[in-house]
This record gives sequence, C-alpha cells and structure tokens, in this order.
Amino acid sequence: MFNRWTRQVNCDVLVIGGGLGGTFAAIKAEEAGAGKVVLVSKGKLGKDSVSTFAAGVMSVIMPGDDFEAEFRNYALGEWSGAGIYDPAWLKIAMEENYDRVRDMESYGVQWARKPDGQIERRAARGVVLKGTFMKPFMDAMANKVRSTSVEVAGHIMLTGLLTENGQTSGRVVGAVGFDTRTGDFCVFKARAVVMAAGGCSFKPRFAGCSMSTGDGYTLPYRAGAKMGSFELGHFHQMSAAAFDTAGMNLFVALGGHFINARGERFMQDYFPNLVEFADLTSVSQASAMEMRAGRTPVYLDMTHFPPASVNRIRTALRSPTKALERMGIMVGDKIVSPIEYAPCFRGTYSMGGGIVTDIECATSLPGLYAVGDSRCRPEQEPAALAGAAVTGARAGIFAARFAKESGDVEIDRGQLEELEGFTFAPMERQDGIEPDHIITENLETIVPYEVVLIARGERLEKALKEVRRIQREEVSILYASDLHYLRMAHEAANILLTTEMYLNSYLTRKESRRACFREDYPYTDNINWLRNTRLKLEKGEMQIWTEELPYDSLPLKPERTKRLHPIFEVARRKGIPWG
Amino acid sequence: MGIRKVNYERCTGCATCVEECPMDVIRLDRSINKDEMPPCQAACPAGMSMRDYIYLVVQRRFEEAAALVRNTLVLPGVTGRVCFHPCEEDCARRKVDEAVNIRSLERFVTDYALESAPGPVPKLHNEKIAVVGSGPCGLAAASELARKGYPVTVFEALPVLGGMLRAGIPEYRLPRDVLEREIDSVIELGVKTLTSTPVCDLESLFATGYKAVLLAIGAAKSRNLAIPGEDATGVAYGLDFLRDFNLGKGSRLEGKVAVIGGGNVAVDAARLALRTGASQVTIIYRRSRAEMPAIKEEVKEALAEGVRTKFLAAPVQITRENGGLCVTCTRMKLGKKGADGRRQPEPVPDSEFDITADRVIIAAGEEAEVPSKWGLKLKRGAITTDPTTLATSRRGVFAGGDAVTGPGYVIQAIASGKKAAAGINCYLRGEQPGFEEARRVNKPPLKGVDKKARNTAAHLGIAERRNQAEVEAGFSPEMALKEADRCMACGSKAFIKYLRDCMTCFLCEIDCPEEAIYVSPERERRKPLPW
Ligand SMILES: Cc1cc2nc3c(=O)[nH]c(=O)nc-3n(C[C@H](O)[C@H](O)[C@H](O)COP(=O)(O)OP(=O)(O)OC[C@H]3O[C@@H](n4cnc5c(N)ncnc54)[C@H](O)[C@@H]3O)c2cc1C
Ligand SMILES: Cc1cc2nc3c(=O)[nH]c(=O)nc-3n(C[C@H](O)[C@H](O)[C@H](O)COP(=O)(O)OP(=O)(O)OC[C@H]3O[C@@H](n4cnc5c(N)ncnc54)[C@H](O)[C@@H]3O)c2cc1C
Ligand code: SF4
Repeated sequence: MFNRWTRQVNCDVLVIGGGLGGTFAAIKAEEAGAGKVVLVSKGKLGKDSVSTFAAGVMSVIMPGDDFEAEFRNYALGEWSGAGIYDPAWLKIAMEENYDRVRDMESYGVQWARKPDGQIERRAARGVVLKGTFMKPFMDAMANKVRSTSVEVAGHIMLTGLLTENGQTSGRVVGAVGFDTRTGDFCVFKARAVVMAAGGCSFKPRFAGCSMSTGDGYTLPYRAGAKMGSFELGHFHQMSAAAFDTAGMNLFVALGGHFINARGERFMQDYFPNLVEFADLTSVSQASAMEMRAGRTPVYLDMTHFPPASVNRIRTALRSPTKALERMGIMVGDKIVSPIEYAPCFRGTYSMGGGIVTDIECATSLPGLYAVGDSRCRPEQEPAALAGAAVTGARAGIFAARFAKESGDVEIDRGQLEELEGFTFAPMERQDGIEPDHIITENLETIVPYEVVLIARGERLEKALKEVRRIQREEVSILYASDLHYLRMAHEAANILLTTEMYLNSYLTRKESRRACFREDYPYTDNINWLRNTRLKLEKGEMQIWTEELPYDSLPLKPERTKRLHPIFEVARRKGIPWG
Repeated sequence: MGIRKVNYERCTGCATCVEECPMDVIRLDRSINKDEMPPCQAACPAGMSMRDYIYLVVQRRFEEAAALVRNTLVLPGVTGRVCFHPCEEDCARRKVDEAVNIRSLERFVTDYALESAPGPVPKLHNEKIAVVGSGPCGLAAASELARKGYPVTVFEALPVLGGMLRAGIPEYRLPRDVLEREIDSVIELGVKTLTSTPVCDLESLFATGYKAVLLAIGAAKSRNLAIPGEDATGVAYGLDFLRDFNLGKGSRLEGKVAVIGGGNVAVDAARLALRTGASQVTIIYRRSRAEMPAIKEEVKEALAEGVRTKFLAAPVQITRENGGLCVTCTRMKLGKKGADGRRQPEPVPDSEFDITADRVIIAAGEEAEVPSKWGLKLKRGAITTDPTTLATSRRGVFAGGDAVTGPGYVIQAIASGKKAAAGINCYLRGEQPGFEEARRVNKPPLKGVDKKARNTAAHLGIAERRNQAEVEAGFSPEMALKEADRCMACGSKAFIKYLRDCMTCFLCEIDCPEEAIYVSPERERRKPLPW
C-alpha cells in the first residue's frame, strides 16, 4: 500500500530505546553537549517500553544507609549475585543510584514520602530497599526528553546496526530499521550509539512486556558484539493464571501471601526469612516443586487487605487495577477472593544476560554503549529500574564523549543494501510462516515447567534443538502481509535467537545457581563455577565459552564450597523427589 | 483476551490509542464515514476532498494524490499558490494547535506529479459550447465540459489566456510557467481557444452553431472614487497598472507611490510598485488592517517588504502641485458593524490632511461590465442567475465567476465554473439537476491530539524580492510528509486491527479521552501454562 521511501538522519548520538534507560541516556548525552541526539523507539515515547508498565518500585540507596551491609547483600546474597559479581560496577551502581533518584525527582517523578518528607522505602524482593512511585513515571521522563533538543523518532522498528566498512565487530556507525506506519526505510548515521532497547520477554502471558523482544541483544550480536550471562537472570514471574496482571511486587509489599492447593503458606517452608519477599524466580521454583508434589494450583491471597492498601494499588497500578476490577476480584476498597497464580516465563528483562560492557557502559564494539535490560547484568547491581537509570545516564555521558572525540563516520553502501533486503524480506515473500505461529511454538518449547523451571541436560538439549530447527526451517521463511506483521516477524526472529542464546548458556553452566536450576547438577558450585558465560557470533556460528571471575581481587570472597541449591535443599527436606 | 470494543458513538478518531498502543494493535479506519464531509471539504467552494489526498501523501503515493486533486479541480498549481484557503479557516486542527497547511500540500502534490493531469477525452456529444472568458471560471467549465465529451471553444478578449490569473495576479505569487502548465492541461483535454477574440454579441455565437454559452467574463471594470482630481496625470487604476505590467506593457516607476484601497488589487499593486522602482509605497485605506479584504498572508508579506500604511484615511481630493500629486484625506473612525459584519468607517469632522506622492494608484473595487445589448437581467452590475444551474435570464446562456458574484476568489470562480458546466450539461441533455446535501462530520477530534507545529515553506528573504521571483517556495517531500501527518482525518474511527497481538495492558482504555474503549483482562488460553 505504501511506497517505500528512504529517510536518513545524521546525528552525534543515537539512542535506541525510550524506556527509563534510553530516556536517561538521551537526557544526559544532550546535557553533556553531545550535539544532535536522536532517540528512536518502537512506539510513542513514554508509552512503548517495559518501563511504562513497571510496577512502580525502585531500589533507592540513600546517603546514610549502611553501605557495606548493602554491598554484601548485593554481592553475596542468595537472591542477588550469589557470589558472581563485579565489584567496580556494584560500587558505581550503588553510589550513583541516589543521584538518579534526585534527577528523576527534578523531572517531575513523584515518590511516596514519609511525613518528614523523606522518600518512603520498604523492603521488597530479596531485602532491597525500594521507594514507590506515586504515579507512572515514564510520562515525566518522556516530557523531560521532549523539553530538550533531543529529536524523538517514534514508531520505528530498528533491525540492524551499521558498522565501519560493514565489518563484523567493527566500530558501530549507526542503525537501520523501518517506520511501522509508513514503511520508510530509516537510516540513522551516528558517531555513537546507545543500545537501550530493553530485554526479551518472549511474549509471555504477562501484560506490559510483549514489546520487549530481544532486539537489544540480536542487533549487537549480529554486529559481532560480545554477549554474556544469559542463563543468570530472573526468568520467572508469578502471574494470575486466568488473566494478565502485573503488580506482584506491590501486592506482596503490601502483605499479600501465597497459599497452595491445601491452603498452606508454603513460602514459609522454602524461605523462612524472606517468605513472600523471596525473588519471583525462587517463588516460581518453589511453586514448581509444589507442582511436583501435587499441591497446585497456588493462590495469592490479599483478602485481608485494609482499604488503604487497596487504594494504594489503585493509585500506583493503573492497568492491574482495571484487570482486578474486571475479574471481580477488587470490589470498591476490598479484595474479595484469592487469585489463582502460576509461574510465568517472562524473560530477561530486569536482570539477566546481555551485551557485555565495561564500567563506562562501552561494549566490545567501539562506538556502541549498552544500557538497562540490554546490558549484561547477572543480578549484581540494584537492577531493573535502578540499573536502567544508572547505566542510562552513564552511557549517555560516555557516548557523548566518544562522539565528540571520534571522527566522522561513513555508511557502507553494501551493508546498507544488505540490511535493507534483510529488513523487508518477510514482506517481499508471497507466502511463508506467520510470526505468531513461531512465537507460540517457542513458548510451547520452553514454558513447560520441566524445561527451564526445573531443568535437566537432555531436556534443555531437546529444547535447544527444537529452537534451532524453528530458526532454520521457519524463521528463514517468515512472512509479513503488512508493516505490522513485518515488525512482528522481526520480533519473532529476535525472540528465537535470544532463546537460543539463553538455552545454550543454560546448558553450558553445569551447576545450579539462582534461576539456573538443574536436577542433574543440583549444587551451587563455587569451586568450579565462579565463572561467567560469554558468547559471540563468529564466522556465522554462535561461539560460547566461560570466563573465570578474578577471585583474588574480589573484595568480598564467596566461600569456595559446593552446596545444594537452596530450593533443592528444601525439597529434599520436604521429601519432594528430583534427580 | 484483550481489547474488545471501541464505542463508535464516543470515538472521535483522535488516534490517542493508535499512537500509544505499544503493540500496534489499533489503526484508524478512514473509510468508515467516507460519506461524511470533514470541515475542510465542507468549507471548500469546490468540495475538494483534502482528507483523501492528504492520506495518499501520508502513504507516499504522491502521483495518486495529484491525480485525485486534478480530478476535482482544474488549475491546482494555481490554487496551491494563491487560494484564500477557507478550508484552513475551518480545519478542525485549529482547535488543537494550528490549521493543516493544506494549500502548500496541494501545491506540493501538483508540482511533484506533473504527469497526473487527465489526458484528452473522446467526443461523446456534438453540441458545441462557447465559453466567453478564459479566467478560472471559464477554464474550469471548459475542462469539465470537455471531460464530459463536449466540443468546447474558449473566447478570450486579451491576447493571452488566464483572466485575472494572468492580468491581475503578479508573477512573484504565481510564476508564469506554472500558470502556462496549468492552462495547457486544460487545452490538452481538447479545448479550443481563441485569443484576442472579444465576444460582442451572443446571437452570432448561436448563429454559428453554438448550443450553449457560458459567460465567464469576470469583473474587470475599476470603480472610481468619484472625487475631484481622479483623472489627473500620474493617477492610474490598480487593475490597469497590474494588467499593463503583467502583459509586458508596464514601465518602471520612480519616487513615492500612494495606493488607495485595501483589497487584493491594492496590495498587489503596492508590492508590484515596490518591485518596479518605487522608492516608497503607502497604502491608504478607509478602515483598519483587520477589515482589509485582501488575503491576510499577502498583507503580512507586503508589510514585511516595506509597504507603508495609512489606515482610517479616506481620500477626498487629488491635486497636482509642483510636479507632484497631493492626496487630501479625511481621518475616519470605525463605527457600528455593517451588513457585511465589518465595522463601518465614519469621517471625523475637520480632520483633513495631505499625503504627497509622485504616482497615485486607485484600487477601490471592481465590477462586471456587461454589454446592455446582451439583454441580460442584472443586479448591481452583476449577472443574475439561477443559483443551482447558473442559467441566466436568456435561454442557453449561463454565467459564472466574478461576473455573477462581483470580485471574488479563484476557487469560487472554479467552483462556479464546475457548477455552470453541470447546469449546461443538464440543459443540453434535458435532465434535472440533482441535489446532494452531504452530511458533515459532527465530532472531529479535539482532546487527546498531540500538538505538532505547522510546517511552512521557506519565503524569499526581503532583500531578494526586488524582482518577480516567486516569494514562497514549495514543500520538500520531507516537509510535505511531516505536514500531511498533521491531518487528523476527521470522521475516522479507531478500529481493532491486530487483536491477536494485544497484551492486555489497558493503556488504550486508560488514556482514551472519550472513554470509548473496553479491554477485557481475560486470558486467551492459547499460550501454554507451565502445567
Ligand atoms: C510488568 C512489569 C513490572 C515491573 N516492575 C518493576 C518494578 O516495580 N521495579 C523495577 O525495578 N523493575 C520492574 N520491572 C522491570 C523494569 O521495568 C525493567 O527492567 C526496566 O524498565 C528496563 O528499562 P530499559 O530502559 O532497559 O528498557 P525498556 O523499558 O524495555 O525500554 C526499551 C525501549 O526500547 C525500544 N525498543 C525495543 N526494541 C526496539 C527496536 N528494535 N527498535 C526501536 N526501539 C526499540 C522500546 O520501544 C522501548 O522504548 C518490571 C517489568 C515489568 C514487565
Ligand atoms: C490583483 C488581483 C489579485 C488577486 N489575488 C487573488 C488571490 O490571491 N487569491 C484568489 O483566490 N483570488 C485572487 N483574485 C481574484 C481572482 O483572480 C478572481 O476572483 C478570478 O480570477 C475570477 O475569475 P473569473 O474567471 O470569474 O474572471 P476573470 O479571471 O476576471 O476572467 C475573465 C476573463 O474574461 C475575459 N473577457 C471579459 N469580457 C470578455 C468578452 N466580452 N469576450 C471575451 N473575453 C472576455 C477577460 O479578458 C478575462 O480574461 C485576485 C484578483 C486580482 C485582480
Ligand atoms: S490493551 Fe494495550 S496492547 Fe491491547 S490494544 Fe490496548 S494499548 Fe494495545
């Protein structure tokens, strides 16, 4: 229907993504005098990111907090690094966290406050101290961006990175994609690029994240960037079984608790200290164990909430409130029935693998910086929103510096042509496989709880084989009847490639640690596995390897022991079979 | 299972949901109320469907957009430059920020896609039709009739075609190559033209076989001021000044020029005077700037170019003294609103003052000049016609354009020419003219539309305006795309196009300013649960 048009924009810093990370990067790059900053995102700025739907709590470490104790928590805590951490990063993340909170405040983000005016914090997942937003904060971030000279380009799906001379692993000089409304082929030439395209949600049955499809991983991967730690995320979320809702963090923070089919508060067995505050991956693993024991379904019970708590949900969580009301669960200022919950494979956002960076957010490709969920963050910093804010600001500043100090760039015509072909290929085909089919197949491969929730080598291998088959036989002939499906086609391809990175990394880690939960290797093995997985595209193949942590230089040293993964430990005590 | 319903009673098509849905589930249905006219179209005398051609621009289908424009309208290259754009006055976007720059978009598509004009049409009828006058009214009628398959001949008294487009409107607003190109597109339909051929009597037309005659003779007789000294040397009428110059007979001016009047002729005469050597030009007008009937943008440009103004001043006498001229004026004040809605000027007693000038140009209005021997019924100098068919009091004779309305605008003349063509067709075919009262969009978008600044094409720097170079540039394709994107496509509704991709985030429902959307949180069990 549309005639194809090519649109080229030249800039100093290109920011890909308009979530909390991307908006911070753009704001800070502009402040640092980067010159022309362009922010590109898939939809309308402020409305198209996972950040838009975040449950509204963010780690806030304030001056006066016991820094050392917090550092220890993050580095060694069961729920966080569990010994795998990068001390330099952790320190920066903790130190700069409060500056970003202040920035956000100056942009108009409202925090819940105590009577004395201090930001009100409560213990949330793990033991992290979190502040609560009073209102969705992305509107304020987007307005701040719009008030600067940053050029905002919305409704653009980027599909590839441009490199110097078109070479794999070369300096990144821009990106290409298409306008999802008009079909324009969009070319961005930039001296520095900030990748803030978020993580990968695999399009689960969980609201508010289906637009996050691993584009932030596959674009740099295809350009030859070094990636890593894909097995170490928090992949599982708990979500209502019959409808989509987010908001768990707040529900639990306000006192909601889980019960199993027998009405037992089973979390008390698994996490005697944290109980419902255990991270959601652990909660999902515990629920899976209850499944093995035949005590599912599980429910989230909030029927005891006082009106004030219910109203807190109302003000902080717009979407979940609608869902709860419409399902007849929230009536006025009461929650009238427990909600059936189930683990939900929700992907790599918040924490997990991504592009490996140094402390300046620089990646292995000169000119490319990585932020937030696109960055490799194996649960070591105050992650998710706080991490996106800290890395966003850093990447903005350092990308601006790089853009100022480096020379002008040129686009390789051959690469441009190749990427244009790649971008529109699904629409050029007359027939083929629909994106939705591939996404469903992928979910069917990885979601059953005995694939990744309680894993085993053979089952992981089988899943990996299937994912590779889908890529070979189906992704290669993805079909898009129009521009909407063209976006969906690229998303499907990116999801599948991310799944491959994930399963391949999972198979490589031969132990159980956090989200890595293997019946065949049930021990957390600090003797052999204080290592990170790394991967990279080389000669058309996914190369995967591990790198040892510099144990001797770690300020806090994890004990060189081998212990049963805590959930297996509880399951053993409770007599639930595994192995 | 996600977004369920858009309530069309409430939806205004503001596109908030279309813009915001992160999953790109919702699109605008632009065809839903196709028979309802958006305000721009309703305001256009020629009924141009801006919404449709602008959407073609949005889709980068420039040729098709141009073809659509030319299908409704002759001379879009002209109206794209000089139209007084009543469409923009009524554009619903004005309530959000500023009107869409419709005129520049029209100009862009027609300049971009020159090949889009329709070609010759086979002759289907043999009734010959005479069109008297080659202004926009005559050309529009000739084009319509030729496209219906009639043999048409245009008679023009002047040696060139185009009427006021050629003789009145100066080149810096309407380059002659553009005008020529537009007139050629009419001739290419097979219309015959005879220049330097004034029609003096209508009988001889009928006698030579013409079955119908359209009088599109314009309103070219300058009104005088009826004040002493009006005939002094150095005093000229605006239309004569413009015509002489435009037809290559003008000479350079020198010294100070006073222009009397506040209409398009006055403003163009003033701007042309500056371009042809005048050292200083002053417009003398009875009322104030707000009441000037000239097109607002042109007044603005004239002032920017250095034209001076003397408002609330009415000349009472012109005298010649020591080689120059002296215009004596009475000061005026604005009184009550008159029948035309403008405040009427009233003289201030004993307030006379003089303005000296080397040349005086009078542009105090024009009227039609209809030979009495044509035997037509007239009203205040203009030809009276039936409002639907434009038939005059004489059988087989029709009239349109300025000759009927008095001085008006190009688009009105074109619309009138189209109407007359339809009237002539009905007359010759013995049909009754049909009535079509189109419904209007009753609730254009208002809330929830993001502000986007209007795009304006570049204008020549003031210092460069010393010749006939076109003052306003056209849009670049990029600008046109940006501006086209501002059109709200009034009358459209949101529709759920990609239901399968909805992720039940509720954003559309929460942000809809009209509360027109309902989202169901219930899950489609398509995607597997872990157990
Ligand atoms: C329901 C939910 C609740 C959450 N609650 C919390 C919470 O309470 N606290 C917390 O700390 N964390 C929470 N998280 C996690 C947190 O929201 C994310 O970690 C964080 O928002 C990531 O920010 P980001 O800027 O890296 O990426 P995102 O916010 O995902 O932004 C990515 C941006 O990139 C754009 N983009 C992606 N691909 C492309 C492409 N190909 N081309 C162009 N643009 C592209 C997107 O349009 C988007 O603008 C929650 C997540 C979800 C889903
Ligand atoms: C200086 C000036 C600036 C203007 N600026 C604008 C503007 O910016 N925007 C706008 O919309 N409008 C403008 N107008 C008004 C617009 O030009 C007229 O409304 C329009 O041209 C009227 O069209 P018409 O076809 O009715 O008559 P005209 O254009 O006047 O054409 C009539 C033609 O008939 C010919 N004719 C007359 N009698 C005979 C006869 N007996 N035999 C043969 N031929 C005959 C005349 O020579 C003339 O060519 C302007 C007018 C002037 C004078
Ligand atoms: S609920 Fe969310 S995903 Fe579904 S149509 Fe509305 S905005 Fe789009």
